[in-house]
Amino acid sequence: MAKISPHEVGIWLWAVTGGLILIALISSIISIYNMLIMLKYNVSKAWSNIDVLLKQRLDELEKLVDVCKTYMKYEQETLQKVISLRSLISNAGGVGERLQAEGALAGALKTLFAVAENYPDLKADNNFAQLRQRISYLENEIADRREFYNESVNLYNIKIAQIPAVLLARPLGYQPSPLFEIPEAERENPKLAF
Amino acid sequence: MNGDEVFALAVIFLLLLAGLWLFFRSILRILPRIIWVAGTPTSPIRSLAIGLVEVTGKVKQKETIPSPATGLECCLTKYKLQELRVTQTRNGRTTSWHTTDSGFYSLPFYLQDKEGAQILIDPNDAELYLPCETYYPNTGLPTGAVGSIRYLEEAIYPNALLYALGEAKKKSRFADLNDEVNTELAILRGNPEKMATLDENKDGQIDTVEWEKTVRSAESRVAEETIAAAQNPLDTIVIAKPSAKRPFIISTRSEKEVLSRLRWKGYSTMILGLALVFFNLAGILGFFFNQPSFGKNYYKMVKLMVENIGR
Repeated sequence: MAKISPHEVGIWLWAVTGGLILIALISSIISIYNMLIMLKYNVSKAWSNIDVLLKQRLDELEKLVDVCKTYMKYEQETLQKVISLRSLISNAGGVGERLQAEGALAGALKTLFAVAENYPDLKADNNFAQLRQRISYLENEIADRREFYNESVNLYNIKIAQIPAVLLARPLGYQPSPLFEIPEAERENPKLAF
Repeated sequence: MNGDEVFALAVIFLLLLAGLWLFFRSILRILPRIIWVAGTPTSPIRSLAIGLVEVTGKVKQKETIPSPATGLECCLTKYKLQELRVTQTRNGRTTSWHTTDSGFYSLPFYLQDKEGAQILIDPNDAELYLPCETYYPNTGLPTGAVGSIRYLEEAIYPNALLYALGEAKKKSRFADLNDEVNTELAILRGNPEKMATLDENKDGQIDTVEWEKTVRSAESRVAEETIAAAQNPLDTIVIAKPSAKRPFIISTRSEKEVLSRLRWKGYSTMILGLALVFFNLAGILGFFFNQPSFGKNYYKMVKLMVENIGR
């Protein structure tokens, strides 16, 4: 057998073991990176799934406001609120601002439908009934998808704050995503004046 | 080199390969699973999207089969029947459990989430993370006596809490119809009482005409059920093995438990693999170069064990 010094044997042994430990470390870093990417894209996917419905709701809203304007001459404040929230959503800069306005709009719509109860002619209008049904359907779908979106955001936000992922998330500029919440004020049942 | 030395070296070499296999298995197989389980958000069934999904809920049976271990109706069972036997070893007689029969049966089942929505799960080719239960059937012998039997079973029973990670996909209509008909006929074949009712001419046999009639009736029943079910869009979706290289995991444990077990398994496999590589590489170097000293000692220890086994 060829002469080999104890020092060289030690180098061989530690080189192989160290190499494997290095592979394990690199794999762990790649795994964390891949997980961050996956979580980020999960949030984007969940948001896209909601966004489609939110856009459809905005389109229906425009038609609803037009129908309501004809009958609800004395409810300009309620209608104005819906209109201004709609334009706020259309011009929203970021997802956080948009989500806040969407939550407020859901509450404003609830008030609008409650107030509409005071207008028998409006209630009897075929267009209004159809739009109301369509918007209620979209609201339910949004509520279902909101749960999934919030779950995705929650997973992402927790992960980017946890050790060791935070060590990678911070330098890569990963920021927490906003949750899709209904503002506290909008959760209350609308008060109606009879 | 004598025979024992060659054998000891072969053992060390195999242990080195096993170490490498364990190490790379933890990195290439277990680590990605940890990412999939931890990174996939739980979907409400009502708003399930096509693609990789994670769902939790209660098992609701579609069809059931009797579990060989408990006799209870179940949706999936993986069992081993073992008998306690006496075996002769170098140190004398000892008793050990020998597997005399084993099997795996599974049927598609529904998963119902907390909102009451249901989705079909096809457990074929799933990675099952189920607790293994032991049952001792009454054989008249005391437990632990030679000749006594036991069942080791991993099963999914109706109403069990379930975690599933798999691909939600549209059911292929025709393939699905055939599958359903075949499942129905398989269940029928396994039930002698029901089979007896098919024997219309009472000649003690199911002839071709009688069997054809049964097949046609099963086909039309499945077709009617499929048309009725198609009213609900969720009934056209099934969670099954993903087509891409993604995991399909089913467990009666919670997501947290599945994750912690995967982590434990992943890290322990990686450390064990590393340790095996380190010591066995040292053993090989110790044999050829007499260095390092602990490697030489390790080789001697393996050689001693090999000699003891050979005696």
